[in-house]
Amino acid sequence: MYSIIKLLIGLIVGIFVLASCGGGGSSTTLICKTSDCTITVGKTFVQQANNLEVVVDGWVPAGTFTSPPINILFASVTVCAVGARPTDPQAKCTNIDHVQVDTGSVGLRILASKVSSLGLTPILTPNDLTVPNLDPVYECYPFVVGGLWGPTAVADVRLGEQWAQALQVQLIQDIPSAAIQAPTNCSDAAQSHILSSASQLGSNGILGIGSVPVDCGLTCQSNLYPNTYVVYYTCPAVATSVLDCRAAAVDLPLQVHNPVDKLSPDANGVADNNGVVLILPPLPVTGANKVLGELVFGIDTRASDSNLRTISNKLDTSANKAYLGVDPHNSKSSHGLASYLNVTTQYVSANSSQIIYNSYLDTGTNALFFTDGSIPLCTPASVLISSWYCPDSLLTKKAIISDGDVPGNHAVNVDFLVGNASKIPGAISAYSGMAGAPPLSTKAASFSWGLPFFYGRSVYMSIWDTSSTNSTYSSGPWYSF
Amino acid sequence: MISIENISLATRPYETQVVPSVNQYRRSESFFAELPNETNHERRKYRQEQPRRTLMESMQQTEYECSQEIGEREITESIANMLAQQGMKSSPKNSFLSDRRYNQQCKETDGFASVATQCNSSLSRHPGTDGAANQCQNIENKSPTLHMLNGVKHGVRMIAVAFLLLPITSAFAVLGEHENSINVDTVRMHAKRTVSSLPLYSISDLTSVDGSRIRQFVSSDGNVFAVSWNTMYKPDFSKLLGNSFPSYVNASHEAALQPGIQRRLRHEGLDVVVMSTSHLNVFSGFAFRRSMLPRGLGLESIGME
Repeated sequence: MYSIIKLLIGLIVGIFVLASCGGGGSSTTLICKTSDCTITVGKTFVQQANNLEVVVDGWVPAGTFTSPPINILFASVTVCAVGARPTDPQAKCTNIDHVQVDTGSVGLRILASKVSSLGLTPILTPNDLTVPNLDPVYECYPFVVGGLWGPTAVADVRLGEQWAQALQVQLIQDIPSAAIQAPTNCSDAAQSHILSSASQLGSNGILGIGSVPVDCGLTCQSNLYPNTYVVYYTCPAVATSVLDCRAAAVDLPLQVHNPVDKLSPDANGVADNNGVVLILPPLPVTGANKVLGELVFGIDTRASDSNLRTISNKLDTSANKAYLGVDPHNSKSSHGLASYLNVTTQYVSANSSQIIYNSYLDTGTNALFFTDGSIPLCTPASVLISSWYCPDSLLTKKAIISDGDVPGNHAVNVDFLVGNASKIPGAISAYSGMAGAPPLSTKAASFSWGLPFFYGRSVYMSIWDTSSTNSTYSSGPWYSF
Repeated sequence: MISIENISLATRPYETQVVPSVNQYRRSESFFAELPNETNHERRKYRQEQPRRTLMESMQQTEYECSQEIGEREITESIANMLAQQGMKSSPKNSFLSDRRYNQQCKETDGFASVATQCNSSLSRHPGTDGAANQCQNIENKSPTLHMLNGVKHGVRMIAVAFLLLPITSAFAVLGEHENSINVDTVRMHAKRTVSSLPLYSISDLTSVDGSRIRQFVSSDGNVFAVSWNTMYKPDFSKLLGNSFPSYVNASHEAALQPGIQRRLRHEGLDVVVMSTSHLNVFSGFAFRRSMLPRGLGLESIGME
């Protein structure tokens, strides 16, 4: 009986989505077996010259998680030894599926075991100011919880049909017998959770395509890291222990790079490297089992052209651009780092109006996180689960996104959903209403627009390139949707 | 009442667990006597580079003077504003740099431009003593808005210069400890410290050159009952949270079991509450001890902003 009701609901939802997206190319497919339905949303991907297929499919690597993966966006990448294109078509390559697409970080990071047969070229740097020896560069890349450790390397990376040649990447150390495990400082940075397997990471790697070209910046050009955790290390090639590693100064050209920023020009000299457009279909309110979308490379670099097999990434000249803050020193605003590489969100809830400087779009965050004391939280089964919202019915909320440095400038309205996080069916892997709250504080801390924001939108995200002759890209990164 | 002071002395070298530090090499007449992670090898290295040390010292002096001056002028300005609101005139400003020198040397981005000028002029006096001339260029280019990016074009090593200009995160007292630890902890270089006194507590606000900001909320008994941070790169949480750190680490065990990237942590312990987020390289958050909150203080006073 239950499965029949579920089937009916699924059908109704499916029809609704079909009707609401008429002509847009999106579709909902229901595949019903004897006991259950799976709902696939989105149009079948067609490989063109400047796009990459992305999916939300609830993929679970071998291993155990306490909760099913919801709203995790994946893509496949091909990693090759340097020289694969165009000089050496026989070069070794390997395709890696289920790499998480993340606009909240920069750099391609893949499990070392996936590319161990390629013999990628390690990145080397002097291990000291005066000794001319070059040693392999290792990186400790911490998230808020957990972190990645492993050597860096140079690879030719193919995204769809586009190539990032000689791209600086990190290889996530997932070989337990390797001599150089994470240093104590890195383990501390990760709160003892060095993510060193697909099951710990929830993916085979991370495709970091955030708003800037490199993953660290000027600080990593010195080896000091005062009061912060060390990012880059050198470890001698003959090291027998991590104790041989030391904090390293790594030049910007050797730091792990944004793959999109490094995309090569085509035969006509057109490079789709100034940003991306992420296109995801709208979801049924009850969620979906699979979402099909695409990541289009470049902004305003291509018109739609069937001969050239290009997809248009033209941005309407009247389109609103919300600029991320680029002023950590309060020259233009008074929020400093609170608005640095962030936009501003104004949110009016039942009992307060908030202006939140620490606010960003992030495909790597799987929910919307914000503060609204009027929405009930889930019954606290644990410290963690209590942070999800559990309203009795689906809520539609409104917010305004504007510039980071000048709140109110380039303002655009955003509608979003808040659903009940405790009532998501087990098989659902994509859910628009996934939302959670920061801890008790009526002063808003941050507004994270995670993957639910992207459903049903085409979101243009530029990369900040100070050397660009076009001020649209040199003055600071922006979002347009 | 607002007071501003500058912290310029290192009381102990910064330690990491990667390279054993040699701590017995104490501050002497030179700032550069204190290198972090200092090994015998590095000490030899710097002894061999006396001309550079001299240049460094003069640059450090400029930076220090500017930060002093900027602090003094901020005080003067805020007092003047306060008095003006009450229809009173302020007394002459108390500063040790002339307007002309201040404008030349300090006004632009905390003195970076002047340091670059000094770098260039020193290079012309001592050609070749400080490596590539583009180190000076790089300082010039280190305008705040280009923080993440400008070096991409230049790609120069600026390790030595970096000792002065980059690693400026200041010391902080840890959560739950007495504010005196603000001054005895790892104070490596000057950062602007502003203390604001409010009826129930005071806020010690440390801002460093890269924009990183750590605020400590100090109760009337002198204890740090809350901290908040907006920092470039991940701050050392053991230093920030003190003996609340293990509680935070425990909370992260559960979060680590979730799939995908964990870009935020909410921990509401019986006593310790921590909120931590990051986006790109900026880490933000706050933490407080319920048991230490001043009576009558609303939580809305403690935020990341």
